[in-house]
Amino acid sequence: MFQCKAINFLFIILPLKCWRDFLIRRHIQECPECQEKLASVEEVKPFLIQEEEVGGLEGLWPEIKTKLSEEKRKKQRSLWPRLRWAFRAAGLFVAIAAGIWLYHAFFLDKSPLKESLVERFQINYIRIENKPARAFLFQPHDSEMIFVWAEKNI
Amino acid sequence: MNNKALILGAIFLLGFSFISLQADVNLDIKMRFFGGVREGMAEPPRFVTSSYLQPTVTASIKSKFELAEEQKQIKKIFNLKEVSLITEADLRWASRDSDKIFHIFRLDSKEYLLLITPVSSVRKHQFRIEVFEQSEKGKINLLDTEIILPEKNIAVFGFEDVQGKPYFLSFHITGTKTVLGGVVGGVLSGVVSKEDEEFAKGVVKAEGEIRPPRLIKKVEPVYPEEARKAKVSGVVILSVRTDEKGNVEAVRVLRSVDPLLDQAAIDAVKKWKYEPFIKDGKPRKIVFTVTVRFKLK
Repeated sequence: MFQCKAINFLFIILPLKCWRDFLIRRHIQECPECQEKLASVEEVKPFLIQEEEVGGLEGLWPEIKTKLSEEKRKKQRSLWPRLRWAFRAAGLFVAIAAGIWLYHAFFLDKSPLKESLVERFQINYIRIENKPARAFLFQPHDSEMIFVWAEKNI
Repeated sequence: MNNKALILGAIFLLGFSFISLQADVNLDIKMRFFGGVREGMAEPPRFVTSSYLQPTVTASIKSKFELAEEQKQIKKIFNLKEVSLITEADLRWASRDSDKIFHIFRLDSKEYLLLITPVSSVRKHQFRIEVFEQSEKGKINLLDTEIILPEKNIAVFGFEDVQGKPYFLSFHITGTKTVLGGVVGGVLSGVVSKEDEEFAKGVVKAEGEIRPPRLIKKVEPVYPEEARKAKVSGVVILSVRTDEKGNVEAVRVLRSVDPLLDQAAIDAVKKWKYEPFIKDGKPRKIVFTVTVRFKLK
């Protein structure tokens, strides 16, 4: 089984027809599994409609080939614009995200907005023993020190 | 060609934003813990055992917020008889390492846990401060607050312990830094000397949630006569290493006051005994910090 897969792989990678023919012929001569499969196909063959029974098949294969290549082209044409837009949107999104981050990391530190954010001391809450506490704030004149006394709410 | 350029551009930006998201934020905070004395009250403890402090050259550089000024203001505003520095620490939060700063210190039989949690990565100066008094009976929350502290300010929080003794915690941001594409295993700012590095090499450090050991035997330091005459007083902060049995085997000075007082503190602390530190069922060596206060009567 493994050998069959290896041959299949070799068939794909070998570009020349003479190599492919040689490869298949040698393998089928030696591989009992492939021989068995071929035998079963041969047995079933009489039950299938034969080429000579259908008739008028001269132009069928070139017709199918043209149709297939047309379909393929259509598919490609409809898929690429969508993919292109997806890539553009992703690139734009990443660029915006990186821009926002860079702005925060390097410029916001010195920007007036950042200054206004950190300019003033602020207490969001104060608790003692997991209960809201009373807070008294003091700031002496000409001092950057802020004093907060916290005590329990009685 | 256009599509290829677009794809390459998208990949580059994606990679760049990935690096950007890895950025580290560092926050340096100077913390001081004071004990207040009201009229008719006993003095706060003279010895404190606390979490390990990384000795760096920057740690010994004088803060523009002078200790004496802080003490003077606290004493004046809260109408206290006296205010003493119990311990101080240069704390660092690095977003890469942990989501919290832990600092544990012991005053006599009581243990205090200080937790600082940065709240927002954009507002680096916004953080939550929690102080707990821990004992065998349980954990009491003495203070829980969330603040925005500008770098120019120093915030002092006053609160009482379970016995009603006043304590004060001061905070001052000494630096915030954003490191693009933070390097894993990077070093902290400040220079660590070779001796300091050797001192704590291969030894458990009492940091994070690792508690400093409990003091079981202490010897009072002898106030040097010369220092007494010269009226020298102050706080000596020491880095201490204990052996597997809890004996003090090495001491280094982190914060010096005067060579005479430093030596007196070292001599006393070398005679102290701690509870052996046990990790994974085995006694281990541990390094932590000890604060000794010298006060003239």
